[in-house]
Amino acid sequence: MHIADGVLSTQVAAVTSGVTAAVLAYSVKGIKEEEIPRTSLLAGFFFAVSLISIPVGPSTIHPLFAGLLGVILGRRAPLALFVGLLLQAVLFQHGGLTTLGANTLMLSIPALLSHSIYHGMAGRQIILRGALVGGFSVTATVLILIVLLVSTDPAFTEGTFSVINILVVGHLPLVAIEALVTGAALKLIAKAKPEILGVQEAKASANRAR
Amino acid sequence: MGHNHHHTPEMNNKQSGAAGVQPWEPRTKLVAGIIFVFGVISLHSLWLLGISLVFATIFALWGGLDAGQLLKKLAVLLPFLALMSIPLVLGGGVPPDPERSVLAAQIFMKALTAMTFTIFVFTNQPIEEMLEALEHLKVPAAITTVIYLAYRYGFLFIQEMETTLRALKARLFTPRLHWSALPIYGELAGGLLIKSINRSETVYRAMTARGFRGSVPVGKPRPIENRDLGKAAFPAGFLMVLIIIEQVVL
Repeated sequence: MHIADGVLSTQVAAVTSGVTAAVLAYSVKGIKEEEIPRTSLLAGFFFAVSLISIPVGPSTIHPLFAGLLGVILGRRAPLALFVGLLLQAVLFQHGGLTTLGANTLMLSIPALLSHSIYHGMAGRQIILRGALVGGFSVTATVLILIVLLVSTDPAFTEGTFSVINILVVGHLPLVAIEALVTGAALKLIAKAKPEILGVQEAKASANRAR
Repeated sequence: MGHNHHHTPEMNNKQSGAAGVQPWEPRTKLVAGIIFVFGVISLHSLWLLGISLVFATIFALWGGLDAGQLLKKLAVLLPFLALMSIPLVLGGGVPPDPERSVLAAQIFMKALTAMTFTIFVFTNQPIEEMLEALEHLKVPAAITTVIYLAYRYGFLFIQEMETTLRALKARLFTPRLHWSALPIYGELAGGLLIKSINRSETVYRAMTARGFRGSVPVGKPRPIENRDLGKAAFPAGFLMVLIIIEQVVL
């Protein structure tokens, strides 16, 4: 799920880089000193989990965790995703510098929306909310990727075995995987350390404990 | 887990001080790198892309990048490029449409060239110097500090994941895609996060006790000399010439 250098046209790469700069400015604005270690930690987590490979048929896929990062970090998520993607590009050759903006954008938008969805459904079961944002974030990421590829060249859509068809089919299992994994991860976090998920979650957890 | 391309901060630092165009002031190197990679993706002619790939390779090797290391790192890209190229070439049916083959070849060449130069810029330089360069280029301190800390935390996570995986394997857990295994992966991820956040809070308290105020202090930048500008102008200028040739001559 990383777009490599050269895949996107110069125009698409330039526009996405510009939009990402604005999203990054929004993400950094007003950041407090005490938020930096957690944002860095989540960026490091995102950077490291790209190395987990889950076998699917002859290939492997890896979790994205954009939804999980979005729920935990909120508006700081784009900063963490940008840094994680930058490190992946320069150290592990996943992605590229010219597509850093596009890659950040296609994960940041679902992450920011995931935060709103998850916290907007307070009171519902955590595992369900987690599964919803996990599955949603992968679906939204693939949709943004398709828009970027179509904006670059219609050849990506042509034929039964087009790049886009292969992308969609290849990521269908990831929607389910990410839903289950994110749901389980958030359930554990809410139980063991609810303050990570914000004040509301911590209060709900304290009420449940009484 | 990608054992084959793990780096440690120490490994990265070993690359500094090579011959050729080293040492190169990091700000000018970074800016030259960004101009070069964005310039490369704007090219369309396969001939000019071939020339830029040869130039990037020679320049990187002259700059002290090890050929074996470069090939090993570029090899990571090949499966992705193959997966992208095959449906692009054959997606329109057999025999392949020449236009689609050209598009696939363009992507292949652009990706290899841009990544060759990126590897040269970042691998051949201690990461700390690059972060200092970013800060001296007026990138907000919050961003450079997060990059610096994430770089350190990332490798700790990798070690932690490897330890956890070994522990699970010792308990006869086979990492594979099975629905019953997914909640286990989720709890592993959640547990790893909780453990690491606890650790980050301890680290943060230790850092604030030592005077941390939201940014990692950086030294004064090394002055930019004429030779640094010359080194930066060479790849950037070369790419500009290729772009002009494509726009005006071809």
